[in-house]
Amino acid sequence: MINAEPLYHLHRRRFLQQAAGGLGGLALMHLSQGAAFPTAAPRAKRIIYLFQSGGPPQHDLFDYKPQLRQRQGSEVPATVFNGQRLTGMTAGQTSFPVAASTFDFHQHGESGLWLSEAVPHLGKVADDLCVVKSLHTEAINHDPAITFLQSGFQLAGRPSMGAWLSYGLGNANANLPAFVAMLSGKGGQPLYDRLWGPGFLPSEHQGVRFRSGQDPVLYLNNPQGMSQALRRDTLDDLRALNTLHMATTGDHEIEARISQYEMAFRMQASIPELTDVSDEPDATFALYGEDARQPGTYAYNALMARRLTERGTRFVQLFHRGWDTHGGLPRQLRARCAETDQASAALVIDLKRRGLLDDTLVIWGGEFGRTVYCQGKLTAKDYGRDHHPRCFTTWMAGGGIKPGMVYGETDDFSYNIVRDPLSVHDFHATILHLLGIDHRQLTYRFQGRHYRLTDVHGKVVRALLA
Amino acid sequence: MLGLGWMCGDLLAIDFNREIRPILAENCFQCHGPDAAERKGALRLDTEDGAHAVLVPGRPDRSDLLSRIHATDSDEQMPPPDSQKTLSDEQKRLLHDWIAHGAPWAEHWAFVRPTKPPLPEVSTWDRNAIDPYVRTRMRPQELEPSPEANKATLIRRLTLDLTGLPPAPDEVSAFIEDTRPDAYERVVSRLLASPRHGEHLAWRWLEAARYADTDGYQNDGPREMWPWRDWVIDAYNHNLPFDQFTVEQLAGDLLPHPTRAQRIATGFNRNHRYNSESGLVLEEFLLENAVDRVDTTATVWMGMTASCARCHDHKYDPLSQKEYYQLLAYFNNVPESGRAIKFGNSEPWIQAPTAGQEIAWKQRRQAFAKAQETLAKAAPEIRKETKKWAQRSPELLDPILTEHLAFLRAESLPAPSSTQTKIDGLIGNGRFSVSAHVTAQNVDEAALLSTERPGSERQGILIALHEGHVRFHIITRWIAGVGTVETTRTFQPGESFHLAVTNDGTQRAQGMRIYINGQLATTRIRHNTNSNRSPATFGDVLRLGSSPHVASLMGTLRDIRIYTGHTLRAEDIQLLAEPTALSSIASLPAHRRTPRQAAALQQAFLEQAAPPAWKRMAQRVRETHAALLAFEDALPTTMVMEERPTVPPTHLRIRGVYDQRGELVQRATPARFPPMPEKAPRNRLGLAQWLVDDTHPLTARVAVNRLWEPFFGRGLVHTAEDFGVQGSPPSHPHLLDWLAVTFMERGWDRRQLLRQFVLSATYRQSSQIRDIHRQRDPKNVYLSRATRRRLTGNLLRDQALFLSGLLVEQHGGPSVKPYQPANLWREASNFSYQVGQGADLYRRSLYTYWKRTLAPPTMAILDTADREWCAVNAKQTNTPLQALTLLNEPTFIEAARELGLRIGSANDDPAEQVRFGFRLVTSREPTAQEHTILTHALQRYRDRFKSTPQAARALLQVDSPSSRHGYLAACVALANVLLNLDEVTTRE
Repeated sequence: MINAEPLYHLHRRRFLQQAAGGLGGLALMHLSQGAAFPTAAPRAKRIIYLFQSGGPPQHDLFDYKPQLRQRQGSEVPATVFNGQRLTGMTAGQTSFPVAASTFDFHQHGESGLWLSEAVPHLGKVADDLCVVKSLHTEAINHDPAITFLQSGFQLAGRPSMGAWLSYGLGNANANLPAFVAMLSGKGGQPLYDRLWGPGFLPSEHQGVRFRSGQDPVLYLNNPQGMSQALRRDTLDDLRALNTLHMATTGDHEIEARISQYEMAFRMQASIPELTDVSDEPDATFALYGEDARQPGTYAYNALMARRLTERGTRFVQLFHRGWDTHGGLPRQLRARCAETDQASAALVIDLKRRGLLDDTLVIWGGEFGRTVYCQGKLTAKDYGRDHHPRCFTTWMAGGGIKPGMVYGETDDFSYNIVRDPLSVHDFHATILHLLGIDHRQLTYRFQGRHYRLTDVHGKVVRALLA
Repeated sequence: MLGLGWMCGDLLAIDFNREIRPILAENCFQCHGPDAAERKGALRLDTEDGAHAVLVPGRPDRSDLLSRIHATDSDEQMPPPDSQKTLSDEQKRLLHDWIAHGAPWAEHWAFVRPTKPPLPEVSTWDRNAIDPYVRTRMRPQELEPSPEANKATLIRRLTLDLTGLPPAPDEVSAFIEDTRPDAYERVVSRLLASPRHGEHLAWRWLEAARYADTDGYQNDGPREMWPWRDWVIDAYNHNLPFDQFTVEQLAGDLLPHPTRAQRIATGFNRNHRYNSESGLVLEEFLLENAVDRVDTTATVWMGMTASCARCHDHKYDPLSQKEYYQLLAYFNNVPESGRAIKFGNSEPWIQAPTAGQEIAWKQRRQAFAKAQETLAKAAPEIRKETKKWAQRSPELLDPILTEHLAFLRAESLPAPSSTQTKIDGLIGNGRFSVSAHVTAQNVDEAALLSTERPGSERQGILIALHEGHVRFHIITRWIAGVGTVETTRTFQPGESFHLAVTNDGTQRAQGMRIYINGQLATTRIRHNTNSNRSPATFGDVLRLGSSPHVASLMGTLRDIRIYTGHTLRAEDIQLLAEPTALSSIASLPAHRRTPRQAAALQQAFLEQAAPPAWKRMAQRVRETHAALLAFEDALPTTMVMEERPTVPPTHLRIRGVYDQRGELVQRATPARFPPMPEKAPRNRLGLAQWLVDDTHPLTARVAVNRLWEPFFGRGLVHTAEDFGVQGSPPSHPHLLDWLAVTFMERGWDRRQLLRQFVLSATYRQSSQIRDIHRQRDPKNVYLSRATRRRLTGNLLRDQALFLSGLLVEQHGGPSVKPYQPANLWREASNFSYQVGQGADLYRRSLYTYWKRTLAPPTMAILDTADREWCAVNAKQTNTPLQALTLLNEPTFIEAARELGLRIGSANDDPAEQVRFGFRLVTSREPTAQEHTILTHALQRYRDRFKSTPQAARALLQVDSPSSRHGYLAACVALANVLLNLDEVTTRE
């Protein structure tokens, strides 16, 4: 690891600068040359994280367990539970029958990756995927689990992954935010500001939530009746007056504020240009699906992720709600996959075609897995699954990750991990490594401590690297 | 620079606290510090004795400490290469010089009780005691105080700092024209007495207290804590001394005969987030609740980062893991379930009427009492007439107490009996009552009455016998959402008894009662996790003597009654418990009737046959009672702290994990600090008294520092949240101590302290930044000028409302919902934001509804704390999103519109209008240059609107054309500029 100066000073100086109110105030848009990272050659320059909120069922998507069909309806053996805590929703159940997946699985690609029929499009990119079946978490409920995956800590207060990257890597585009979050899906588990929040980092590192509709970024548009020409006039006058005031007060911070107004004005042009997909050829919509024409859908957000990536945004995170399949799993899962499968696969294909996949890391996954046993009534066609922290599946592609591989293995019930467990901290450490960041060095001093995304844990898992 | 002799008194000596301990702490304490478990080589460098194992005072050449930090061999080198820590040459030199000077040691300054330092020599610049301390610290930096700011700047600064709003133009001119020597003091007194003062100071306290209107986890349902918020505002406005402010918030419930206000105050430690997820494990979140209380209390009163010691001994400060759990033991004895109610307050809570409601409540109680009294007066007559009536027509007797009756089966039923009846309202969040005469053979397990649904979630109610006890369950989701109470007594097979259960609609087990034979039974709570509010239609058909989940009753049920929307009074249940049928009672000779039988008969007479006057009297009792209940049900409530009667054992949790129990610990305060006062009780009250005891080294310093920061731009200790060894050392240690000691001596009088702040010459300086400031002190640590600061979101919004005349000053009450973009909540959660109307749009930001997981966007963008956790340090950033917000957000636009109209109609002369607008927003006259820019701007905007009348109407939001619109719209655009001026968004 090569370092221009000892980290102690680096961090200390940064801390003092930020504590003083942001040196130069370049803030949200400070460009990467000012940033401390990467300190090693990065494999990935940016991340697109396709977060599937609620806990997608690994049995029905990736973790193929054909032998469970013979055990359908029989009690899960106590040796499998092995003292594992259950949620308050099923702890009161008297029976824990095995629910085999009703979905058929097929092999795809040269790697022969087993995938559920629920995700037919994903098969097309099977050889680009690194499927991790052995991610595990410490939390068993949504809020702590999703907070843990996003910030490395189960409770509120820590920066989200994207905020860490904005802080560490800076921004590569002066007209767009470094970290963008986009939401889709109706109903299901709620999402929270903290998932893209800055925690104790300066607020400029918070993810900017892009929304569908008139104002993709809050308050982007001038009030009715104020043309862009008039807006330009007002900003010119504002600048003239603020410049005078800078001379009177001697406060150079005013310059930084003036530049924020200018950036705001540029965003008023750059964001509509970004979010207007009418310049995309029909082939794009054939690839992502017709949904991608419709702002607010997962497919539109996936396309937007590609467009942001092209423009240099460091971290784009999609959140799709509705994967919390406690009951009526087959119907719900088909619906979620119909909303997401084509666009997820399309994004990988599209990035690859554009030569962006090599240095863009795509991640797909939720906050935990689901149980092998049925929650609620088990019938031949219907079942539900409760939360399961001990193993779940996530996949990655591009950005220096090894393609066409499966990492980790679970037992016959996809309940326990039998080979190569991957903790959330290791997962984070590996992601940061791909970006050229030593996870132990990306720190921020707060409350007398150097905080990290990986807390005091984490190791880079080399087997995942290309 | 070298230390000022703070602590060691020698001007040439190296200041251990300021220069040496920070190096050791940062680089060595991780392995050689207070954490015994992590300590390497049995070496500790956080104590003098420990350090002497590796250094010889006065002999750098013989000190291992130095040879190790200079070593190049990776086995020898300290800190070790894999620690990611490196010492700079400067730090190595400092350590060398320190040892050469004899390695003087000092206790960490913040853990030593402050004493009043000597007052430095006074100069003519000084206005009060703050100034000589400040000036003394400027001198070594070769800095001089700045001149006093002009009066216009001063009154705006004062008004913003003390009330959170800018001054009105007449206040500015009055002050400027006031040539009396105490003109400034008069303004200060006026502002300190304003009710706006309390509202303003409350904001920072709400941030520290993580106050919000929702629970903060996952579903993030609403709660009602504004009575606590109003208590804080009141406390500031009544200048409640800080020691009382502390004791009441931490332990008001434990004071002798606590008032309602003192109990409301304890909401401080109920403001934390609270999870309602069905899947959670109660033990885990009972721990998280207590952890949040400890961490917040430690940060707010002690400036200590206690949370580090949750999982292991603190790495830097004297707080062991065991001591952490000893503190936690003060905060984990609250009668709470561990799962929050999804909609509304989670117990414990109390009713919190406003002053007006308090009066109305009393009137309702009096009305009920009076109605009862009136009926009681007539009782002898009624008794007489009842007897006559009973003799006359016993066969006509109908059932009594039929009001609110939703189901009645009077005859004896062999159980189980099926019904197809569906009864609405048998839910936790509704009042209901059930009554029946029971005979049961299988008392070990027998369903008496159930509306449970089949399926594992079992939604509905169940009344059953279980191992001889009567159990009453309200189930929203088995087993995560259940309220269950159980009689302590048991029943024998074949025993006959009358059973009644009532629910008070509060969703909590405390509101579920069981009566046996007319008497309120002693019960215990088995489950109390009913967090889902249910629709009235919840549950399945009524089953008598059976349930889909419990064995059926072998026995009988008789006179089964279900009341909905009503909680029966004990008196009514008495009557229902009478086993003898009314007709049989009536046929008994009067002297053979028991008092209860006579009462039942009298009730029948009053309901069925009494003269209208008496009927009305009885009816009046029922009506006034129902009105009282309805009134009480609608009263605001607020969550409070309470103690369980018996203190449960507290275990240390290994690595901080809820189910990894370690050593059993007792309540105690950390050993490093002075002991608890002798007579202080060993509970939260004692802990609060310990915090405000004048021997405590931290509380006053931490409080004074936090109050200082908004007035001077920077805390005397910059890390307001950390006074430990990793925190920043105070910039003005003597001043901090002088303020802290004086604060305590003067009875913790905050208003007096603030008065002292603003009366100082230090405070009154100009904020102009000159070259010397940029070179010597860019961050203004030494206070040789006032600090310019961008206002936070709440102040910016309030100011815009005020300047435009839109602000509605209505104090206190439920939180309101001002403008917010449509669907901002809906897209991310299961809630929709309903924008308020009228005054709700224009209240101070303090009253804005704060949904924790989706905070008010303008506040989140403009650097306010997120309220998810305790925050005591202000953030300050510059982002384009802030610019967009101030330019385009509807409140700011509406303010610009109103302000524009004010400007446009103030005068006919554009030059005067510009002057008027500028003066309004900045409190000063524009310079000639500024005036020219603004006048030209107005002309240019006017020209633009001349050709686009529709645009003018759109900006003004009017329909009909008018020749003045172009001009007024231009004024609105001008107002938009004025509200965005750096001078306006900044406190100068």
